[in-house]
Amino acid sequence: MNNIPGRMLSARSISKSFGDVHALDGVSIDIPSGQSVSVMGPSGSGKSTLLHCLAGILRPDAGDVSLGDEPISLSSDAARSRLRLQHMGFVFQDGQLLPELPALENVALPLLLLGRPRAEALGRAADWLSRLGLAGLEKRRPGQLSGGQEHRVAIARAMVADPAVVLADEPTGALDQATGAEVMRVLTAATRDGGASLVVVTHDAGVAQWCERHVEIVDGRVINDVAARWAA
Amino acid sequence: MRRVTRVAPMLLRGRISAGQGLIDLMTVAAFTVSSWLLFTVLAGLNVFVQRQDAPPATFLAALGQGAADGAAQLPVWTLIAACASVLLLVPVLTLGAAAARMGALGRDRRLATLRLLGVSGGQVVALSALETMLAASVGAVLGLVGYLVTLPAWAAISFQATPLSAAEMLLPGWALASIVGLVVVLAAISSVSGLMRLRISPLGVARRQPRPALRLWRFLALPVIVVAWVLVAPTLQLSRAFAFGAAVVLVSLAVFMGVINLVGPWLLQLVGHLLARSGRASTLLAGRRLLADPKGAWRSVSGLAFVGFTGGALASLPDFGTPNADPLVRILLDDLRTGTYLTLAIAFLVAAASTLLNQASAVLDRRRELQQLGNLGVPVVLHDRTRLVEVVVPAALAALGSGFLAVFFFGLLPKAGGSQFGLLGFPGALAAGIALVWAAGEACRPLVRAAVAGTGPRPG
Repeated sequence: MNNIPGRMLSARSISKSFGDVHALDGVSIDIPSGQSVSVMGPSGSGKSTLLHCLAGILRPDAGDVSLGDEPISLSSDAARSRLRLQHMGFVFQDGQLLPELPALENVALPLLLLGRPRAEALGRAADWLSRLGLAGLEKRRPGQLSGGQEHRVAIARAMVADPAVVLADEPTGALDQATGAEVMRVLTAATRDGGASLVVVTHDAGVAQWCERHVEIVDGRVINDVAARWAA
Repeated sequence: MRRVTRVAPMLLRGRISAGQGLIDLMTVAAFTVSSWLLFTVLAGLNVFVQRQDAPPATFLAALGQGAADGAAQLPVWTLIAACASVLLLVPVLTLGAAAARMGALGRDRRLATLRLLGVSGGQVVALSALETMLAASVGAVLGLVGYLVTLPAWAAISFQATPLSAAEMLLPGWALASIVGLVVVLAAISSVSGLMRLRISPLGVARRQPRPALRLWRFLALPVIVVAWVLVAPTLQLSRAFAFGAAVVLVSLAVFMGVINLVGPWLLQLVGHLLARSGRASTLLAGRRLLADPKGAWRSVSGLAFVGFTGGALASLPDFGTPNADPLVRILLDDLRTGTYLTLAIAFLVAAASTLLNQASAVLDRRRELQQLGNLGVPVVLHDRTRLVEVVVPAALAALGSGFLAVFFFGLLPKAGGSQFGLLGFPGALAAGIALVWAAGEACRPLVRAAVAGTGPRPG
């Protein structure tokens, strides 16, 4: 529904500072619809700040961010919130699931916030949980799930409203290697099948290898932007 | 907005079934107590207002030939009842505000997640206010039920030689509805004002706006009001221009209570600076916590400041034990004693509930910090020592400071000298109040241990 072909996520010469620290320094990047991109770099390189600017969570000090023809960086907080709700999905390191809601309602939440009927929202949520191998765990709360299961619930929540782009910040940071690989397999498969773009911020080359394109960022600048060998 | 409010019942149901109902239960209980007291205090005041127009027959009969003069003195009872109401209303409303903050515990992280999903900043504030208003509504209705159920019990207490009947204590329907509405609106205001200090970021970090240091002008309000009262009090002639004098006393009392709440946090900030210089870890930590949020620390002991003020008032009232042949004076002194006991009892109830609620809130609020310190190997006993300093020092300051201010306030009123009862009652009230704060803090000891161990109720 929101996954409109040709809807490109673009950043043009964006800069962002926190006091004296220049987190981003004139970064430009285009992410075509359906492409998966890893953003790598050492700690403090600005990769998370780039992700937050792309998501409209942070507003860059200079430069523009847009999704298709919708300007993100120039919009009001309410407009950026609406854009996130309608067109974006998120998978963060700690999952950011609501602890009081069972898995099913956590996944259904974006649809309920979009005004969909409850029965439809819960039905679609159950479908996504089933697709990600979580059938039978719908009533469990985040604390009753394993780390890998919690991340899959977060992926289901990110995908349930058919987003144009999914943004993931260190999505496997809190997981062991095997579980992390499984989460990345599920995440890339889900976004590919749903036709959504995927932006993954990570410092782990093993995680980055799941993406078609690798962007490397150091001191707030893009120093490398290449297609994966298998995707080239 | 409608879409956001759609998810509110789902979130509330989830909180309850996820075992976080304890916090909601405490919130509703606090709203229930504060609402019940609000109904009762205002109903009591209403009794004296009603009796001014229709003096009780037993009162007139007890006065015999002096009935006509006695009826003319009924406004004195109303004035005293109004003074007690002013003294009680502030802490009762503070308890309601504490309940609203308790309800908002841990919401920042949950609201941050909603922000990440695309809910705007205004909408999350509205959602939170809605949840608080729901808890306040339930508490206010339960408080109303409690008030109605306990109406017949007031017959055990007499004023003006006449028992308080249930019919007299029953407020009109419009007043009951207004009080319920007032509780709900004040709860919403408390909730929203609390959240305005948080910038709910979608990044999962709710950054608190840095609190600027409290300015000296807060303290300067004290000498200004003292000088003003020294000039005004001796000129009051309650017997001649009663209505004017009564109005001045009432307004002054409210102003004094306001000044206590203004100066208190500044003094705690000063104490925090002094404690923070200590070499002892617990004292240093307590001092830093006071400095980080002197207003919050004051809220924890503001109920006790009220007890101190009441104790100070006791010390300045005429001796209750003086035998007097005049039936009017005898009835008035009897009623003063009854009213004082009643006011103190309500004050202690409010102070106990307020202290317990604030202490429990503080522990739950610092749950993660306590767990992390436990992981670092910090002994649990440090938290006990820190809590002792953090709570008892401000409590003693609040009780003593407000107590001496009350002695000053009532001592300057015409015809109000010192009393034996007061001299004994004042330190007794202070000791009881400080002991109560200590006990409330100790009641939270299991909660601290559960937090350190990573168990116990989790806010939102």
